[in-house]
Amino acid sequence: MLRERVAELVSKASGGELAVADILTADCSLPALGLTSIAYLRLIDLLEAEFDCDVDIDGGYLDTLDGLVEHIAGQRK
Amino acid sequence: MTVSPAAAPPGLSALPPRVVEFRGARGGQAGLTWGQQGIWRSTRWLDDGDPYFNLAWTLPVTGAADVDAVLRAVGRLIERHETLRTAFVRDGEGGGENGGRDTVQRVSREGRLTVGVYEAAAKPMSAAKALAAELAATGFDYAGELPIRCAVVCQAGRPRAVALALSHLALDGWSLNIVAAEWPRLVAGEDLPAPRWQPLDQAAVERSDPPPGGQALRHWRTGLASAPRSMFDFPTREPEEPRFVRHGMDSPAAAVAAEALAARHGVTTSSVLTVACAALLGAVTGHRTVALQLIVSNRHHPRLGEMAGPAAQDGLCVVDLGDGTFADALRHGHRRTMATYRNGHYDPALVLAAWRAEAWRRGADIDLDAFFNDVRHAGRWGSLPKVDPEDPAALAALRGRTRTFFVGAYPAVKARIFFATGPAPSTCEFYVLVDTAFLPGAVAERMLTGLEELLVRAVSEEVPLDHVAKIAGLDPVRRPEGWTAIGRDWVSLPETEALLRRVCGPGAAVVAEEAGDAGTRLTGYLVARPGLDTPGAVHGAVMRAAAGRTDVLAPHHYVLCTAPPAGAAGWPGCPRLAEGDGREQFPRNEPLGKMT
Repeated sequence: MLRERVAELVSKASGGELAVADILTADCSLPALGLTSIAYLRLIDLLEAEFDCDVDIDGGYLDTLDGLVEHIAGQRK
Repeated sequence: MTVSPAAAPPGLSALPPRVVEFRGARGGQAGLTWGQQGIWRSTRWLDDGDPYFNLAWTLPVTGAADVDAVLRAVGRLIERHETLRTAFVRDGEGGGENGGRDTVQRVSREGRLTVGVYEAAAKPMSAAKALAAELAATGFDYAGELPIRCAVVCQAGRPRAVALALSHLALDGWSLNIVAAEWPRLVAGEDLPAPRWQPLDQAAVERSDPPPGGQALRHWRTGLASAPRSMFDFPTREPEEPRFVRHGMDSPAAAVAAEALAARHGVTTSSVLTVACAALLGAVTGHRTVALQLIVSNRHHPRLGEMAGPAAQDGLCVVDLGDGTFADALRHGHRRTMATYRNGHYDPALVLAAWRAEAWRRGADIDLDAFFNDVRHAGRWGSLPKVDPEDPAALAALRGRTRTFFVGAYPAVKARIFFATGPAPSTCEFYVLVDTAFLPGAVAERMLTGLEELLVRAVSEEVPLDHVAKIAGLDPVRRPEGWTAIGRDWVSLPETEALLRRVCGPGAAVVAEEAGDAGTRLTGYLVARPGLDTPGAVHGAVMRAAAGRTDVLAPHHYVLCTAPPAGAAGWPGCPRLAEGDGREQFPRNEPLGKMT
């Protein structure tokens, strides 16, 4: 569920340019998928608001959907 | 508030001007938003009336709209966006030099704009562009004039284009896109919903309690402490005339290579360009840690994303390039650039205070006059040529299309180096401006070709950072004997000693000593005298004398003696009156250097 929800937020942050299905099945990083810098920043704001967590932008897990999901799951424990 | 149209340029014949009357939903007054303060500060760097920050712009008129319909659309535009009917008025003492805090934005609810009307013999869009440039050639009177000048260009009596000159205090690139999207609908007479967010609303949020921007302020403090005190800590040279030189490049190959690198390393092309510029600047200036100010649009904040008006601020990006390869630096640098873009919305007054406090602690002005601005729409190229970047022959062939060109030279710019993309979607349109008091103007052009070379090479091979200068064809600056590295900073010891002697008397001395983990530390020895009888007083005097310099560093420790020794080597053994770092009391209200 969390993975799907984060994918939805990635799609929302991209302004709908990236489809949820493509994000879920991508075997590349989010920037390689086409997520721009500004969409990235929107995404972090959305994640922090939705999951009430702090996303450390220096953490190195922002590149992929699974990295983000893992980080958020870790923060919610 | 009114404005007169310019005289007709060649190819245009003037028809009688028209007057657009407007009446918006509200007027009002507030302090400047943080984004407005940023532009305001930049305009203060120039002489009054300097048009450097004016935007010349044209909008097409399609369909069957007549002049009245176009003028109505201009009126609706001004009514919708309060920023287009805002004046910037002095409100109190201070001479306008304190970053805009003595200036207010005043939104007129109603007013009139005189609009020129012209008939073009041919090519109305080209004529409108020339007209826009002419309208923008005169600086705006920010207090007494609307921040928009406008003329309609017709052909055979039918409007074909609108020429505009806009104050950068009113609109930035993002805002222009907002206006461009609305324009055809306004010309068609559509009734658009009112904008939900205006600079007056933004100013209120920024003055709320607690104000936003706490995390950004922490980001700045950390960055200030880790940045070199200047990227330009090397001997100056005789500047060229005019002093600031800008070159440009159009390179589809650089763009294709940057996209390939971004995809390979899981970063954005914006980060690739930023880190490449950091690597080039570091290679020339002899720095492994590079500090750049990135222009942060701040438009990822939803309300700012909808606002017409300036929202950009400078963000501090400190990239530790490390000892590895360009690819290693990319991965680390990407996180630094993202952190910078995330922390670009802050109260400039608080950052300035942190900046001054760090300068006082460090013992030197913190010069951050190296900039990077990515103006591409959504931070990417939209339509690059379809070339396989892994095919060296194809990439080499694409490089045949690269061209570089001289853009211009300017007497005054608040930057020592300025890297910027252009908006072109199908090529890497890139610009480098250099301050020739530090680097030859030709370096700007070599940095452009070096940027392309670095990116293309990095696609096919690992590029050690040690090789960047050679690959890019850049000569690292040479520091004569007497310059030494202290932490991240290069310092001229002879100049530092000369400064101390000028401030404290001819016998004063500076001694550089190794201090274990702390690295090299400077100790200043002097004879105490009235007014210079505490380490704090001496440090204040040294900092004032060193303002604006990038070659000297205030001693980390001051030793005040009762009398001079017989010879310079005898200072450490002299009877001491007082000693210390002199940093305990930061003079909050005292301007110590050129840091705005």
